[in-house]
Amino acid sequence: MTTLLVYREQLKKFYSKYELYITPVMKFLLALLTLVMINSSIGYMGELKRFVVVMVLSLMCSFLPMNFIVFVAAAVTLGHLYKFSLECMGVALVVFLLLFILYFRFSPRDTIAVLLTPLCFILKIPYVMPIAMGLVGTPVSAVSVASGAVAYYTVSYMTNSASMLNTFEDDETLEKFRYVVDGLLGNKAMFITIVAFVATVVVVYFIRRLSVDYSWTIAMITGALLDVLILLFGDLMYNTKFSIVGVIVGSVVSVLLVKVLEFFVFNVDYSRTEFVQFEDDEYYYYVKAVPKNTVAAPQKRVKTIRVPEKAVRQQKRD
Amino acid sequence: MLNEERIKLMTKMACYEADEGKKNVAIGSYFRGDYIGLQVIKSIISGTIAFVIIFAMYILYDFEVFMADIYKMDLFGFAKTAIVDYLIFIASYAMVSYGVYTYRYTKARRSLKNYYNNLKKLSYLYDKEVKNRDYKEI
Repeated sequence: MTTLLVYREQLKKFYSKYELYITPVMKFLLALLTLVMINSSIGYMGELKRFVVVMVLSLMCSFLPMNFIVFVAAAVTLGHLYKFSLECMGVALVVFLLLFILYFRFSPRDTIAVLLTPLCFILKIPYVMPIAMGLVGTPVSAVSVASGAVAYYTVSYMTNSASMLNTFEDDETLEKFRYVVDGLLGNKAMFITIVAFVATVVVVYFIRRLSVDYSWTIAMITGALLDVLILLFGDLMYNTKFSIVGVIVGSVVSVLLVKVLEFFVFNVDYSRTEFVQFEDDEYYYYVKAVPKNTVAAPQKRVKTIRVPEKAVRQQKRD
Repeated sequence: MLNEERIKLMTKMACYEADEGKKNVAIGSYFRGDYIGLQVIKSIISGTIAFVIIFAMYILYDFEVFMADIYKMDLFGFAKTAIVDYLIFIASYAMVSYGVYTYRYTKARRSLKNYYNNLKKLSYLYDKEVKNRDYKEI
């Protein structure tokens, strides 16, 4: 445990020292991961899958604000769907637009949750998101997580019913459109997941705010159990074919992951080095404000003990 | 001469201004009613756009039936239900945004209070410095 704590301190120190470079690199990696995931799951448009395009988009994301990644991800998804079927792109565009217009006016900061939720779905650990957002966010974050789930299910429904959609004739646009809308509105798995996630976020949020020992851990485990319970209950009621083993294993893995995140991310204040500039009547000030590290990580000291040669010689003689 | 205390205060304030203060200062420049009113109007506009999109989808979904029935149906009644739906939707959305922005305004004001206190302190430090300088010159 001590080693981990030391490691965390070193990480913190490292981050505060190189924050200027680490943040863009992280953004770049996130954007790259997102684009690769989108391309591998719905890569219908060859142009967007090209290495150069992916790299340029990711590089752009690395120095633009975080919300730009969400925008790029949405645009790339729409591009792929355009190649796949125009109707699907229309429906996805409407879903994205509604999410954007109605909700993101309120909380532009939470947009990252909308991006991470589908990513976690693809990685088969979607249960991380409601727990994590309950721990670091507010109950309103439930809407972000739910939006992410909607975005994921919308696109995954379209790609899953690709063979069915291909059977429609070209002039059956309306039928195709109706088929997609019906499928989305009748997607019980999506609604059950949304209910489960919203309940989890809210419950985790309220439990972690209780003033009891280990409230964070209790919140995580209760949240995960509630999540599993609602999903299984929904499965029994509506026969949604959730894989029970998948849900349980995914939840266990998620709790462990969130526990790791809690240790390294949520409970640590990665206070940043700030660069500010201001002036008064006499001077211009360019200030670099470096946060003080409260607990210093012990530095390794190597002590070499050398036996004096004289003693060695003496021993040999004896 | 550099005044260390004042520089520390100014740095702290500049950090606040650069980060969360930026938004709060913008909010704080409005009167309460103006800010909330403006945001609610924006919400109503975006809500209207959203409603139009949903309504268009609804019509498009049953487009053939709709076109076939358009001469038979009670258009006035249809418009009435659409308008009532719109009003309910917009009213609830506006109420939610009213709540959210009232909360935000109060929070920003509270956060700015500290900032304004620091401003006062800064001006006090300035005055003191100027007085000291004048005194020395005399």
